[in-house]
Amino acid sequence: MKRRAFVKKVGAATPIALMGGGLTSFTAKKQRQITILHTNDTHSHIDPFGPDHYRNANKGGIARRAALIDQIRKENPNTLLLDAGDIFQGTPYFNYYGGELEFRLMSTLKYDVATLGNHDFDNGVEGLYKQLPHAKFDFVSANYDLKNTLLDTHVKPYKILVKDGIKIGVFGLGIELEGLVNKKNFKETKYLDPIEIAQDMSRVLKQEQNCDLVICLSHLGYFYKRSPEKVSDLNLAKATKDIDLIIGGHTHTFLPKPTIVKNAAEKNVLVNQVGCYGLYLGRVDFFFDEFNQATSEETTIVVG
Amino acid sequence: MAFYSRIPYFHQVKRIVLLLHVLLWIGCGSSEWQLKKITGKRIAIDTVLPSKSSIDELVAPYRKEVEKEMKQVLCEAPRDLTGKDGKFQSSLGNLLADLSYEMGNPVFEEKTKESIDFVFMNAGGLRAPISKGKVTVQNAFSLMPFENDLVAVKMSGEKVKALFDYFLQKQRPHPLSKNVQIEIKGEDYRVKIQGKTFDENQSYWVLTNDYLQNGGDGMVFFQKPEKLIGLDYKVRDAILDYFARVDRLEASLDQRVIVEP
Repeated sequence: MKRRAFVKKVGAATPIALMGGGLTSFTAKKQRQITILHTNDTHSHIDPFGPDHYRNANKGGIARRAALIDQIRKENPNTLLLDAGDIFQGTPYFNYYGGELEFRLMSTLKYDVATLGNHDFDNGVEGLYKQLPHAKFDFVSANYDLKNTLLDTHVKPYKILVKDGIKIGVFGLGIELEGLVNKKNFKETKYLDPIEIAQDMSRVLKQEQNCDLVICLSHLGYFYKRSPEKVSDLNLAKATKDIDLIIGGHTHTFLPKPTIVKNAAEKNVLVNQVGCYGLYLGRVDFFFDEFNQATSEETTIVVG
Repeated sequence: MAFYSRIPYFHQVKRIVLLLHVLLWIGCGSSEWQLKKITGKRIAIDTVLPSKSSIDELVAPYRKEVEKEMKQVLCEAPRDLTGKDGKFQSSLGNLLADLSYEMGNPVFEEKTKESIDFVFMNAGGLRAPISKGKVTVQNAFSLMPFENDLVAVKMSGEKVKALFDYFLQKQRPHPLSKNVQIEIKGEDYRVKIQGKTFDENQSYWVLTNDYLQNGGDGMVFFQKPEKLIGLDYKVRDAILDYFARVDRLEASLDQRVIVEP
């Protein structure tokens, strides 16, 4: 039966391909839309802030985030939900349950992929490992070498997802843990140069794996004004190519809209970060047309 | 299979079609999809959105247990305490440093028969202010959400000097206990520790937390100390014990740091 289906498909394409010299077969233009939803630095914030909070009164709340995500998925089932790290630490839910509830909720919300933030090591490599059974989503980190830790094989460098025929590669980058996390907590986790790793990852995903979209989940931080040379999302975007979107975290930067940066090949990269504590959900939509040589290769970007 | 045999020239046609596809793919580059448009924005999570009830139900048993704990009232704050009401000190920072001394020193003395000279921590570690009114367990968790332990570090005078240099250079209200008085005049400063002029040839016991002792926030002077004693006492537990011990949180800006004009 499989053979038969293949034959049918090819058979149907035959007359058009032969008649029109190939290109006319694309006249019936097809479009695809991939929606990327993202959070970062949620820091165990599950309930909305109380009405008396000095800054975030009545904001946030994962049950509201869930309702919003449901609504977006209904409009476009080709949606990915990503997190850029620091899921742990910030409310007593973490202190009492060690991240169990955070992971259970993210699994229920159908998160696809997350990367590791420095605070995700707060209960040590063991504490994170212990909670992994509650996480029904994948963790990616390309620049943490976890070979000599419990997390070996549980965290992959990247993950490829296919939605509606569009191939999406997602890789992760983490911040240097030395000085930020107690050594007894991160143990034998080795930090590798994020820029070099990103250059390699984007080549693998775009050129070897032929991904239509390459997304970097980064916990490096948006930008460090006082140390502008320090590795950050803005510096990463400039130093690499073939990354379409960098979803950042760590610096709790509330970007009103994604930043557009020119990469090493003078192409546009989007860098986004939505502050912290689940106060916002980031949304980036990618619209694809079926390839047509007659149309220009330009991509329109609308932010805000 | 039967279908093939009935069309003898099919394989040939198939080959041509496949060839055309291959040519097209080469012409198209690696992908058959072309990115035409990107839109990006953020969506606020606030009261405009409904709550998904199944999520609330999942959280409910966890919340019930945690809330019961968190709501316990421990003492009163006669005024708002924040980490940002001064340049080199803050009301909240002074509270944390002084209570760490008050709660930590007896534990340390018990262990070592020696005494802490002063406390030094980081302004960034004050994670939430305390509002005027009832002070609950929740306040302690918000102020100190991390699992850090109190550690006593025996430092050479040289390293203690590096600590004060750092304090002056960063110009942030890093929590410093009242056992220290610093007078700052321009680039110069004078320090008294426990009422005595700071002696660079002497060692001092400084109480901090394990995160900073490991070089967190660039506090490299805490590393490779002469001696290191962990108190097995979490900073948050010291806060909770102190809150439970006192009736009111008395803390304000005082004379521990004096900036001369």
